[in-house]
Amino acid sequence: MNPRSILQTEKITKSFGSFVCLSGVTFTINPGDFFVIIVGENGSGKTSLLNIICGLTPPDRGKLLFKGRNTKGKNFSWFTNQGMVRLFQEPRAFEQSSVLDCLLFSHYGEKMPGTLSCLIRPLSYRQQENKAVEKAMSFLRTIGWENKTAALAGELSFGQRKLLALGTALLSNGDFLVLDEPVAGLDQTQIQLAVSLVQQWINARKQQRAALVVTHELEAFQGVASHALRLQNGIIARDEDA
Amino acid sequence: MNYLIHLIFMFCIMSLLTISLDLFVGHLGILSLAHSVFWAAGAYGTGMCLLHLGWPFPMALLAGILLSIVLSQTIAISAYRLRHDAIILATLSLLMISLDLLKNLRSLTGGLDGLIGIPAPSWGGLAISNPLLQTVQAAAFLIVAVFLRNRIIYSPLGRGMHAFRDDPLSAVGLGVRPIRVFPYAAALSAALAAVAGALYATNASYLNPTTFNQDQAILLLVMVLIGGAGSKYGPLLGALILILLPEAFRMIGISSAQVGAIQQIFIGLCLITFAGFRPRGLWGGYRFK
Amino acid sequence: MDLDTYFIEVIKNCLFQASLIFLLGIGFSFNYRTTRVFHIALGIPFVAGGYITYLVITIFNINEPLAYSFGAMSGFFIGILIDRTVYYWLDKREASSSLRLVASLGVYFVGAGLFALIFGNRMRVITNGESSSWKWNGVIITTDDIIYIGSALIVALCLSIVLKRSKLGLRLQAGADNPQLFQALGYRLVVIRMIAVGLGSAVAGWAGALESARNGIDPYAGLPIVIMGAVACILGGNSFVTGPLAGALILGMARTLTTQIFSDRWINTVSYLILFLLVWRDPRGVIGSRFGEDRE
Repeated sequence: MNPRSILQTEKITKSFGSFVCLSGVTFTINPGDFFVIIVGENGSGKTSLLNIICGLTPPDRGKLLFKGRNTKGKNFSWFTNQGMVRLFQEPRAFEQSSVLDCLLFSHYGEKMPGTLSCLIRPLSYRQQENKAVEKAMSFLRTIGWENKTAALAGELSFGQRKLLALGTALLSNGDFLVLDEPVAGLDQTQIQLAVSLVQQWINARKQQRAALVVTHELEAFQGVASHALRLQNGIIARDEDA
Repeated sequence: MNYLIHLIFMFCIMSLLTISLDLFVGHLGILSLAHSVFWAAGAYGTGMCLLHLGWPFPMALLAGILLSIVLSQTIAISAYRLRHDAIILATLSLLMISLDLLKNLRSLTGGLDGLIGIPAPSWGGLAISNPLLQTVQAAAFLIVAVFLRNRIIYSPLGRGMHAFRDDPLSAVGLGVRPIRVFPYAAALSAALAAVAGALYATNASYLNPTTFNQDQAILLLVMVLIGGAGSKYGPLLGALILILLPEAFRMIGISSAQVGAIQQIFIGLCLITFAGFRPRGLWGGYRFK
Repeated sequence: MDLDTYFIEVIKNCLFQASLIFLLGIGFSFNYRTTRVFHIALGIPFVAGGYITYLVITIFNINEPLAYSFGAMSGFFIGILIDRTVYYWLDKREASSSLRLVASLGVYFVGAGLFALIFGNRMRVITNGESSSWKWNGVIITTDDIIYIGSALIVALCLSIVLKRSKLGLRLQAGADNPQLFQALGYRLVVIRMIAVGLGSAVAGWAGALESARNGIDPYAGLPIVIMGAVACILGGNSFVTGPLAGALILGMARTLTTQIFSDRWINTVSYLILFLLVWRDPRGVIGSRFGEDRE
């Protein structure tokens, strides 16, 4: 096992009754990796694999190490505290919050100022807020959304909500993204934008960051993915060169 | 004139309570029936310190606030563990247990006989015994409460509350633990309710557990929902409507004996309409799903 | 008092306490399992049953058992009315469980207000109610004990037979367990739902009739007792009869022991503490977490 890896799975197996949905799944993700797992038809084990990786479901057998630590018995909250950020297939945004507020929330994460700071608003608080707003606006300018700061997340289109969810993940304090079908439902322009944003995010801190994408469509990630595996009927079928 | 002053005073008290409850309902998305507990904690805490211990008002007020904050943490811990319908039951249980304690711990609270003779508030020798002055005091506290509420709502803590309200799983998914948000929001909410309790106790100079019963708790929730949970002034609007409602009924000739019943029917119809048609309330705020 | 007598006294008091809670638990479970609404407004059929019984006894001088039937019938129709108007409408709007609970609270307020307007706030007591008592093994048994415990036993027995041995019973269970599949197989869900709601509300009306005839009724009597019925269901498990029965017995014992050891001032505290701990114990949610575990 590589102690400097971000995520390592060893012979992960999961069954539901007599149905084996994952069998002997083994792979390693290192810092700087843009790791893609291509999944086949329904029943290939995608959801189970993602839920195991994030601590939402325990595996029946096998080992999972996250940043060198054994994850047996750990829950979703533990993984996210360690720097994992999961994006779900259905874009989950804070529907009744504004676009800007969503990005600001993810920027602060656990490091949000205390209640007294929020009430009294000393200089350090105001400086932090200004920095957070600048970072969020910079992201919004990149995707051409400078005029959408006050729009409610719930009123955006499906593709826009997916981009916003991606933005919250990229601006968060996490360093390992787990992206479930990040480009499904996006148009071509949005797909290219999403892929390039993730790539830029990894490259900004290649020694610390990595991303795992689980998708049906390798095409969108060809040329950028560092590794690609195919998951079929619960088994890693072959290592595809990206 | 005295009655008008009393109405304004009660509007200030109810508004303090609805603003504080709205932190749970509109900004954390939690339908809580326990808010009377924090109100009662502030009232009885302050009242007992003034009566039994002879403390000066500012210290007694602080004691009431601290008691309320401690109690609020049980809700904070419940809130992020439980599903929404379970929270309603948990908060109702807490309310009923608290009411029973108030009724049965007679040596402390006076039981159903009540706590009698609570002195008027006094700030460093300046006694606020006149009803008009007490109303002005209550209005000042209300203005401060609105200011503090706005500060919190438009801050990272406020955004955290909204994130947990809208999608707790995503909020945790972005690395924020509920313990960074819920205890602080609950503490602020309870503190404001406790202030309302202290002001109420020193104005009425008498406290009885039935003042804080489940009917009152439901009424507070109704004020917030009808006014518009999560909106800037919805809770105040809700408080105003429900304070003036009995007066409006009396003005159109409904007898005092019937006003209570008619008000209940009206409130019930509002709740049904809210649930079915207008989950955002009158002012428009958070849309309950 | 010797140990045997004390033991029998405790059992008797437990059964007495449990009876009314069990009846409301039945009402709650029949409603909840088919509508998925936390039916606080079940208090209205309860109070309606009480007032109808009060009226037929005091005005028409009808004997008690027949008066209870009137109470049950009024509960039946009012329960169906509430479901077909408010809850059905909320189903169409796909309201969340929280909003349904809020609406149920609204219905309770409307109902309680109407009763207060018509009958006034004060408790209505039937002054010509007959009461006797007997001694058995040193334990005093009153008419109230027999009526309450007897009613609970009869309801439990009848409903258990219906649920286990009749086509209607099987359909009620199927419709409650999987409404979509039930409909897909060609059965009319709306009819089964009405029957379940009506039956549950009739039992609540019957309970209200008992209370009215024995202790009196007021417009606000419904809420506390419905909450106890709900606690019994949550405690005992999600089933039509055995869950509320088990839960009511546990609650009844807890309340009896509280009276014996401390004082009856604390019985509500203990009941609500049990509810709080129950709700706390299962963070996935309340009743919905254990569907399908208990079968009649």
